[in-house]
Amino acid sequence: MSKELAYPRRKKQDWSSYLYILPMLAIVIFFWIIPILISVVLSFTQYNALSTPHFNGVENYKALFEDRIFRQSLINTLIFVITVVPGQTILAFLTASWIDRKGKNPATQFVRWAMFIPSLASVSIVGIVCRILLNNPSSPLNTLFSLFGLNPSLLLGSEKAAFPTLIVIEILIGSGYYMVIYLAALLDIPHSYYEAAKIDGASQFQIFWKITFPLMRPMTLLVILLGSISAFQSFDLVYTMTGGGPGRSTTMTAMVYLYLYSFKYSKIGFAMAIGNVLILVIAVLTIVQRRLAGRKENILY
Amino acid sequence: MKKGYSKVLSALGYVFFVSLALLMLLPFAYMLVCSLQETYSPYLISFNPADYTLDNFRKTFAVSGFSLWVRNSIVISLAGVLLTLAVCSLGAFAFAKKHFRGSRGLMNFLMISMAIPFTATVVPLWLMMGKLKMIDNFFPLIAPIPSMLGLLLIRQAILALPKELFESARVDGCRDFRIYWNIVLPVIRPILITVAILYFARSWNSFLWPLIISNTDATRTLPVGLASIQGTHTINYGITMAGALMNFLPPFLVYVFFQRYFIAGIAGTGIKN
Repeated sequence: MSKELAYPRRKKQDWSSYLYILPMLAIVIFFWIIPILISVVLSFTQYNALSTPHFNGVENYKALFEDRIFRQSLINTLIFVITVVPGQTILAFLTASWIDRKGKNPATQFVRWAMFIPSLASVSIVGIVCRILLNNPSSPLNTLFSLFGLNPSLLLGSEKAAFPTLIVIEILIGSGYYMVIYLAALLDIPHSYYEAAKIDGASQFQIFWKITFPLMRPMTLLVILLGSISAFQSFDLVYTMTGGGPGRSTTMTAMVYLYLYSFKYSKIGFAMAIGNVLILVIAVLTIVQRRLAGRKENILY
Repeated sequence: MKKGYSKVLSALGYVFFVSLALLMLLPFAYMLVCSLQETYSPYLISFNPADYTLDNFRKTFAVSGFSLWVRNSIVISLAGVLLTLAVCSLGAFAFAKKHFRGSRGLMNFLMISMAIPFTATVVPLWLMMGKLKMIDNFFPLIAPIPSMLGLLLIRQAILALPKELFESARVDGCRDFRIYWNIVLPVIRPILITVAILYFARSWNSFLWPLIISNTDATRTLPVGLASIQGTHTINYGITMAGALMNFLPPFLVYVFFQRYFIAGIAGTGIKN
C-alpha cells in the first residue's frame, strides 16, 4: 500500500471541528476573557465595590509603579517561580523514574500513593497545618528537628528564612502532582526500547540518559509550563503561612498583594491594575517559554 | 565488580524516597491525631488513648446546614467533573486529530486562559454574576470548572495513540464522532480517570469563588461552611482539624477507590507493543 493511502491527508476544511471546540471556547470567553476585559476597564477607575466606579485615568498604574511593596512582591514572585519550578520538576522526575525503574513493590507503591496525597487536599489547609507544625518550639516537627540539634521554630518568623521555607514546602507538596504526569508518560514508553538497549549492552545510566530522558522532553515542557503558571498564581500557601510577612513584604507575592487590595482594602481599581500587570508578565514569559520549546512539543514518539 | 556499591546506592534510594513520602503524610497524621481530641493548644497533643474522642466530629455534624453543604459540594464537584470530561475530551480530540483552519491560533487563544490568575478575575466575575442575577445559583459554581489543563492532558494522551488505530477506523468508514465515542474514549480511559480525580479534588477544595458567590446554605459548599463555623470555635483546634479532615476525606476516598486506574497510562490497555 502506498503511503498516501495509509495516511489519508485530509486537506479539506473540516467544519465540524469547531463544534468540538465550541464548549471550551465558550467557557474560556465567558469566564476568563470577558472578566479580564472588565478588569482592564476597572483598572482605570477608582472603585470600592459599593459606589459607582470613577474614571481616573492611569492613576492606578502610576501609583503601582511607585509602590515599593508591589516591586518587592513582583521580585518575590519571580524568585518563587525560578526556584519552585526547577525544584519540583526535578523532584517529580526523579521520583517518577525511580518508581518506574524499581517496578512494582510495596515501597514504590507506597511512595507513588503518598506523594500525591497533598495534591488532594486544599492548599490552605496544608498551609495552616504546616504553620502549626513549624511555628512553635514544642510542635511535633520541631521536637523531631531538635533531635538533630536543629531549631526551626523561628523559620516563619525570620525575615531571612521565611521565604526559603515557603519555597521548600511548595516544592514538596507540588511535586506529587507532576510526578503523576511523568509516571503516566514513563509507563507509555514501549518496553521494547529498553530491551533493545540492553541487548546492545547499554548501561543503566546510558538507558536513562539516551532513552528515558529524551523521550520525556515533551512531558517536561508540559510540566514546566504548568508548574510555572501555578507557581505564579500560588496564593493559598503564602497567604495561610505568612500572609506576606514577616515585616511588611518579606514573603509578599503578587497574588497575595492582589488579594489584599481586592478583599481587604477594597481598592478594586488598584487591585485590577495589579492583576493586569501580572497577566502581562505571565503572558510574555509563557510566549518566551513556548518559543524556546519550539514546535517539538507536539512530537511524542 | 561494582555490585556492592550499587546495592548501597539502591538502599539509599529506598530510604530517601520512603522518608520523603512519609514527610508528605505528616500534616495529615497530625490532622487526624489532633481532630480526635479536645485541645486548646495546637501543640499539646496527647498520646494517651483515654483522651481520644469523636466529640469534635459529632459537634461538626450537628451544625445546622452541614448536610446541605455536603450535598452541595457533592453535586457541584460531580457535575463539574462530568462537564470537564465532556468539554475537554471533545476539544482535545479535535485539536489532536482533526484538521481545520486556525487550529493553532485557537489553541493559543485558549491557552491565554491558563495565564490568567483566577484571583484577578474573581471581582469582575462576581460583578457579572450579580448583573445576570446568578448569585446563589449552581451555574456559576459548576460552569467555570472545566479548564485547559484537562484538555492538554487528554490531548497528549490522544496524540500518543498509535496511528493504526485511526486508520483502521477510517478504512471501516467510521465518522469522526463515532471514532471519538467508540474508539478514543474507551482507550484513553486511564487519563480520563486521572483528569477526573484531579478535577474532583480541585473543585471540592475550591474556596475563594464559592465563598463569594454563595450567600445562603442552599448553595454553600463544605469548605466555606466549615470555615464559617470555625469563627465561633477557634479555641478548640480539635474542631478545626476535624473539619479539615472531613473536607479532605471525599477527594481522598475517590483517589483510593480509583487508584487502580490512576496513572495506569495507555500502556496498561495493551495497545502499545
